[in-house]
Amino acid sequence: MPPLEVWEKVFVRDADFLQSTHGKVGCVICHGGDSSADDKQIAHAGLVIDPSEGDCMTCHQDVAHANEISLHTTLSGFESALEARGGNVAEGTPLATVLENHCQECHTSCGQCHVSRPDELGGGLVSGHKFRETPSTQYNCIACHGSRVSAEYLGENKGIPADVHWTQESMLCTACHSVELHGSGELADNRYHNPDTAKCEDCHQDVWTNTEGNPQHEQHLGDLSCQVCHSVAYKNCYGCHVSIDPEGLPCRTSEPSVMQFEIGYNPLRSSERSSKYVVLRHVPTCAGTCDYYGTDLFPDFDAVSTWKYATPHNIQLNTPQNESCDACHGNIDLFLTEEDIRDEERDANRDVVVTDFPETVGE
Amino acid sequence: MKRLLIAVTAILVLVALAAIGCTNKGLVGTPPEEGEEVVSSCVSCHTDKETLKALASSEPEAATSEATTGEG
Repeated sequence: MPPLEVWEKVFVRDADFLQSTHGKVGCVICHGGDSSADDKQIAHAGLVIDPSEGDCMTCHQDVAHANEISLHTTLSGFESALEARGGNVAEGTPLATVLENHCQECHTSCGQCHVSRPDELGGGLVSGHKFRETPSTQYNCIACHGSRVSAEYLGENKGIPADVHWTQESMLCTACHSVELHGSGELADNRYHNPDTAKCEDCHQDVWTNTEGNPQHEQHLGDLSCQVCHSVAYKNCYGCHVSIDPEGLPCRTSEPSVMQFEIGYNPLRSSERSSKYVVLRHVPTCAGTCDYYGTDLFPDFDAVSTWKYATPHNIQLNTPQNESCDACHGNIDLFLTEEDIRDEERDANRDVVVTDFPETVGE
Repeated sequence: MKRLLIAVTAILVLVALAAIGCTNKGLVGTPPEEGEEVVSSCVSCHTDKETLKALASSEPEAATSEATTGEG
């Protein structure tokens, strides 16, 4: 996505904005500065480029309060992932520095979803300062969630079809992901801890209420997550290492990503997510990810699997594994086994590696 | 009677505080009065493409490491 020219970023191209609720309050109410000055420097003195913090709360208290502790705002998912491996993220620790140097750039604000492109992409107004109740899929959602989610959803991974929700219905991100984007009102460890997270059954309720004529659903709805049968190969990342380069800038290296499809045991099994089998995605993290910042920063690295619960965005009605019973039953290649695990990660993944494979049924 | 007066006064004060908190919290400037015409150099510049182009100063390039490889 090419960045905007400097002037484009601040061009209020739609004069109608000035007659909107937000436009009518006047620029300086939110942005500060001096609207009576003709000189640019004077006019911009004290300018607040992104006034999200505080200002949105004035009128949108409910949603702004909830959003204050949402994953989009706090990035608490990063912290909880580090802590789950025994990491200490308290102020002044090496991992606190890691978070500051390598994770905080992904923070977003009200304005960076509803008004402008995220700072991470250079910012700039999306629709001439119009406040978009629904963020732009292209300039907001995909701007940050591009390397895995959007590439899968739009079919940009070579040889892998786009998601059927895109190809057949042109559904945008917010068609499924709405209220959850502002969090649940409680601090979450990860996105799956939000009860409002998008679920297949939100739209496909009939699949659960009527399995007649569909023996696969009849047999497997309780045991398998939807993605086990209806997802295809997705991106997996390995060997991420973070450090500071000779120029003093934060940098990151990782191995080339790999398209894989792996069914494993559900690491988040609960009453909300009861499937025994789910698809698992390998996260970039490895034991040495933060070695630049210190030794033994994850004393309990094996407490959490490196193959994580996943919901790939490349859903298909028909997939290689649901062609027939034996396309999956007895097809060990589909399942995460010991052989798929790197030696140094065996203990971390002991609970998700499949050991009881379904046997062939001859159909 | 005195208690009633105190109670009414307290309620009025609370309502006034709530109203102030609701309208001004977090705002940088002062909102225009109803019907007041907003004369703003912000609007005149930021709605004029040519002016913006003429006044645009180059932004400092975001410092990103050339050592970064792989996908984020």
